[in-house]
Amino acid sequence: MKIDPIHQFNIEPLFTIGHIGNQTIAFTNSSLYMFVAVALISMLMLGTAGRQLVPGRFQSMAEISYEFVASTIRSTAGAEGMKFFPLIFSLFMFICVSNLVGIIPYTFTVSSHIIVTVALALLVFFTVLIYGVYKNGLNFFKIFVPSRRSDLHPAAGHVHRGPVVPAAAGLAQRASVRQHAGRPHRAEGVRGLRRHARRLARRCSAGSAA
Amino acid sequence: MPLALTVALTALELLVAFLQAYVFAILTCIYLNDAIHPGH
Repeated sequence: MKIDPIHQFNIEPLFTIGHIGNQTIAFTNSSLYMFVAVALISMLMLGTAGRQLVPGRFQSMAEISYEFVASTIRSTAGAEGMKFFPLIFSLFMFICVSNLVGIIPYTFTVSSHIIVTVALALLVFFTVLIYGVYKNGLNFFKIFVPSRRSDLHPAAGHVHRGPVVPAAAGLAQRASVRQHAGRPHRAEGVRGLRRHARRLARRCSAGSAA
Repeated sequence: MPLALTVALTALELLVAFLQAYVFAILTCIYLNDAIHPGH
């Protein structure tokens, strides 16, 4: 049997939609599988729109994917990021479902062509750019400048000012306290810790008595 | 044995399929976070 590993990536026109100049605009197998992915997602999300109190397996899948994307957004972009939930959820589900469909033998994987992922990435790129400038004006471009905090890194020679100092002082203090306690900080198990705590307690009570 | 390998590789493909979507979503979130709260 002859193995043809490239064949699965071929784009074949299924029927012609029209012409622009000499260029034929065709509905291809790639377009077909994009429609398949969107149809599957629509079936999953709209088919479970009845929202049973006790979810079945498809409603569970829909709820899990909703919660997954929603918690990702809340943890990375905060509650304000939820206004972009439709965009991010659509992107996630489209890529995930078209990839999963593509695993099935003899199907076409939409995202195996860079034009598809580039189109999606440019969508995100321009959304971020336009929304960022709309919301913050030209201040948005400050994201390309390092923040002030990094100037205060000890290696930059500015150790004596800024918010780094109290933290460093606290760390140094804690280290010296540990040295005075006569024992380096070491994991010794519960028994060792208990012994250490008893010794500290004794020292404290001795100190207060003196 | 070839069957076990096929199953294992298909599991890997499932992981990759999910991972691509997840990375795409999380990077979108991070860039949108820059647009919503700049100057951190």
